[in-house]
Amino acid sequence: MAESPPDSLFHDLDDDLSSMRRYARSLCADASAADDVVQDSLLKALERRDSFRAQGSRKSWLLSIVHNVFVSGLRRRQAESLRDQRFAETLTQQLPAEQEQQARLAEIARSFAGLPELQREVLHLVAIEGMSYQQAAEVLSVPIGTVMSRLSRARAAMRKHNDNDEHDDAQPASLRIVGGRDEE
Amino acid sequence: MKNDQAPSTIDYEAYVDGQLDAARRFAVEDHLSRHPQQAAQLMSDLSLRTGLQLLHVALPPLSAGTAALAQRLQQPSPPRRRLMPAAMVAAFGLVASSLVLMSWLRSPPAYVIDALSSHRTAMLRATLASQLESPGFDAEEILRATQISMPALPEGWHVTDVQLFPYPKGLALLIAVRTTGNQALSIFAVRERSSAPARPDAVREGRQSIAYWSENGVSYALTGDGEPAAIDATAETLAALWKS
Repeated sequence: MAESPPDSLFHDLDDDLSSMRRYARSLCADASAADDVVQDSLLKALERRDSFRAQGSRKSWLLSIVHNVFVSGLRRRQAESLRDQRFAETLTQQLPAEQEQQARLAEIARSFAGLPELQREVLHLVAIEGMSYQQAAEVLSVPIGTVMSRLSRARAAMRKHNDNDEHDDAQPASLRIVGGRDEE
Repeated sequence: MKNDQAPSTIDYEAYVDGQLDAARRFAVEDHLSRHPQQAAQLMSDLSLRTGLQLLHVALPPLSAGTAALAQRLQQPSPPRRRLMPAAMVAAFGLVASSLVLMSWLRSPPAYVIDALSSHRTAMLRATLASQLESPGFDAEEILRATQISMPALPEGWHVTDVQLFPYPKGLALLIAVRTTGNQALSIFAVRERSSAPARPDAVREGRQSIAYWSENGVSYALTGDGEPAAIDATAETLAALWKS
């Protein structure tokens, strides 16, 4: 983007803009609805820019706006119906053709698309955006324990989906990790 | 292996999510190095995470509208009040948290939120050189085309922008006006029966207030800066004027 004065708290926005677009896409499960959410979020960010503090995380601030725009709008209901099928296709369409393990990635895309909204949003923030539990809790306005339990359920659902599709391994790895004694 | 304590579920999950400090990470890795089956599960969980990242690397091309707004956000904050035209004050005014937005969403009819966002967009348009306003307004023509009746405006008000846009049940109309007191307001109208009362009610969202009412199957909203009471009073005047 064009040069902007260094005093702006919103300079070098490209990475955060990409984060907003990715997150909106995971929420909306639809590219054009996601674009609307991002635009509304940018408008809101413009309106509220004075409330952003330099010491806070700009990305968290922007993603929480995306989140609020999504949950307060009609798009949430639209997303429910779109989520499962088309979204997974959208994600895999953009993989480079030479990407190996295409099938495995397509599987991951399908199980991600099939997650309930509350699990998908938190998994997106932590796994894709690399946020800490604390940052994700702030974006979602929920306690950190809720973040952790939703993540745990999301991961369990994705493993289950994944295991159902495994055909070669005779013995599935134990999913229990507490008190594992397999080597003793 | 007396001290070979398995990591807790929390530590294990936190490991996958990259949330552990070096000491706890080491403890998990040290344990898993002796437990291949659990280690394989960990690799599988890590590959889910990496796979998700791979799936999200590519994004569709940036739309022009989004790019323009992002560009705008990167500009330094415009000087407030002194140099800003009133419309910009409206567009960039402080907005209360979305909690406030959501709490009042429960009561007013759904179209009120659309009225508010259209108002803000209109105020933004007014500040963008590349977006030409269309101040021509012909109530008769609008009525013929949309079945939305938009009676005459009070004397001294002038129209600064007129926008028609698609709405779930037809078309919505937004007229941005400037009052005799030089206040920037917008009137939103949609041909839709709603729970809006015949006499205007008003709510506040941040710096803006929205009065909403309905008449003859058309739902209206008047949006502008200021206290709900003031917007409500203006809406009452409009509604009364239109009835007479």
